[in-house]
Amino acid sequence: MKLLKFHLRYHPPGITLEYLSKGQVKNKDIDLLDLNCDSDIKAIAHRLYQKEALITEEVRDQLEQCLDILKKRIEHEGPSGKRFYIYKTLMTHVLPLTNVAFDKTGERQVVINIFYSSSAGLAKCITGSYDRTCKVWDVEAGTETQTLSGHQNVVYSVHFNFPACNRVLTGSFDKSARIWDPVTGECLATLLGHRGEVVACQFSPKGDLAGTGSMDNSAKLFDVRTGSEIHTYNGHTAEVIALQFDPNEGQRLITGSFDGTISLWDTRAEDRVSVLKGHDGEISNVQFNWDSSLVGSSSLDGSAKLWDARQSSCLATVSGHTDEFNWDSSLVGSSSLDGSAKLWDARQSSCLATVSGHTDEFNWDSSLVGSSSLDGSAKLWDARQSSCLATVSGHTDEFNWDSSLVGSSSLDGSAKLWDARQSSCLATVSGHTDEVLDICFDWAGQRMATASSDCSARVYDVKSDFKELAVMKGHRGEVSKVCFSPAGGCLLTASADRSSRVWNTSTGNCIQVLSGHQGEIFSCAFSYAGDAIVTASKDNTCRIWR
Amino acid sequence: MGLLNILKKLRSNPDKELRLLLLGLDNAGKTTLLKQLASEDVNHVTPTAGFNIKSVLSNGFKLNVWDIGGQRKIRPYWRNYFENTDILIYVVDCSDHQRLEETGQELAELLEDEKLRGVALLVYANKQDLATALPASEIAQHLGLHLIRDRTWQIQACVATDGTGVKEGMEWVCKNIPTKK
Repeated sequence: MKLLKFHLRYHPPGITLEYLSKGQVKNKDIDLLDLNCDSDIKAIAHRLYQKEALITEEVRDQLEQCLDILKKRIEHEGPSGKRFYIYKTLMTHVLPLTNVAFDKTGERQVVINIFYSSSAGLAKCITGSYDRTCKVWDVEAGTETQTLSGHQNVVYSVHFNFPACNRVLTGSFDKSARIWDPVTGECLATLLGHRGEVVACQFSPKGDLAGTGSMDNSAKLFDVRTGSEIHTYNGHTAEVIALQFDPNEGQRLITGSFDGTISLWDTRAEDRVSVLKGHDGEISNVQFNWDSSLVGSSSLDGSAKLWDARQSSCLATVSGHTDEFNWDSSLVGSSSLDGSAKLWDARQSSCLATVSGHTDEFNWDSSLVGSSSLDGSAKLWDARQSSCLATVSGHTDEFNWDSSLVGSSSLDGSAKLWDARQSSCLATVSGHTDEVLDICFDWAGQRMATASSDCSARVYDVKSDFKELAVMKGHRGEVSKVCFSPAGGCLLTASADRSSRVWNTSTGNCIQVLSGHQGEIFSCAFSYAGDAIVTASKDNTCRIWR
Repeated sequence: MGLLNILKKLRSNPDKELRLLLLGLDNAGKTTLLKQLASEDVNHVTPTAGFNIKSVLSNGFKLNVWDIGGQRKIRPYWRNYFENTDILIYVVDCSDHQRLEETGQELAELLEDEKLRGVALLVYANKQDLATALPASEIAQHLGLHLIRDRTWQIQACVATDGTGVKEGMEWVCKNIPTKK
């Protein structure tokens, strides 16, 4: 194994090691989520050196330089950092704007043997509008580079496929979604099937799937290449207005609905994986954090909730079970009166493991295993640690583990399907005095921000005690959108008072008021590099601030 | 009224909640009428480049009134707002003799639209306080209202700036609320 290059990822901070292993080039990601302005670079470098075999003595200097670049990236923001000024007002939409999105230009910077090369191109942003178009803007030049026309009604939701950013997904009130080439303006596919307005959509992290949420109470999954429908996710009893793929594998989808619940889905199955219940009002937004361990939700009931996406509970009970049963579409487990449990790989029809007498541990390839016994208990096994994670007795209790579907069977004649992804509520924050309209995590997934009709925004710690870290007060109208700057030093809010504001996330102080729009601001966003802000308004204009 | 509220208003409405669509040429007085309905100051009304939405309580009903800009270049987008409309309110500037034909054509097109099929129509014959204003009966004739067979309709003379006749129109609206599916 030989280390070839360090790749830097700015937001959230991380390093990817590119190395040679048996003639093949491979990558290994190292997250540095708690890197901040006060971090001791030498100490972190030492820690990585000790932990990571690929990092040898010769490259420690390079590693420290990489860490220093990442740290500087965080420092350049904040109260003493950048101020934004109106750069361009874009006026070619003829009706109010809806949502905006930046591409991720310069997402990955490459360091090759210390020679720092930037891969940054020109930043682009996209805007949706009541005029039925989505426009692509060159942020630097402040000019429109393409108009994506074809929708028969309002273009509401707009997204790039990250990180490639060579496709745009639009969701429209015309009940369809479309996939576009943002360079040529060509519509590559029209995603049909919804019976109501498409108000939420997103590409999966790999870019091969598109998810849509609609006012028809359903969500759908489409194949990006062919435009054909893969699944319809039914289960919500009211409009689906928020949707997101998990940022890691992209195999999980969450949807938020006006029915007050959040649903978790699997891209490989049509059935609902689980429902998160607890809010007393319509859901306004729902989001995964960076490592997909948490789900944050905001609701018109005035609260925001955090859910543990990894804690599991019983999903379904199948009665009448006698033999093998199915889980995760690929694994089959069986239990026998001889006191052993076997686990089968359904794809190869081979027995992967046998557990006898319920005392032995067994190994497994990157998965978790459940077994059951005559003693009436079920055990959960972590194959990677070869240790028993939990024992469930009486087949009624909930148990914990990590990220997969598991089945257990019992002599009581039932089999239970357990899902790691059904979540329990970790915390409810109710500092707001009115409807909570938006929620977002910072890029590193350490904090969460909420926006409310009570004219304030709030920031909460989500890594330890869910404490309120800051309250942003000053807007004179409802705050409808909130987002963190990529490095996390600033919070950006959009308000009905026709202004956007930039806040210090540590103190809650307002750093800047971005005023000038003639109508309320519907949406706002930070560019990936943190050097530009775009605001979109009901006044038919979009403003770029730099 | 952020985007989320727009989605809320877009829902197929529950009982006791109605979606009223306010259309008409530019300068007909739609926004003034909307403000009058919401008991707001009507002195500073500027042309609507997009839309305004207000919710008004009337006779036990929650009326979600959508006021849509009437300038020629944005009229093709009126269709954006047709979905789930319960009552169509069409506002006419009765003193604008030159554009009577134009307003008639626009209304005729609306009445032909599939999405507005059977939707009850209220026409406000606005600006009756101006000396040159035609009376409601003449406006009805110009618009060909008597030829409408596929829906209930009403014409109501009004002065949006001082509220004269506005209330009467809304009473008709409440009496003609369609039964919900």
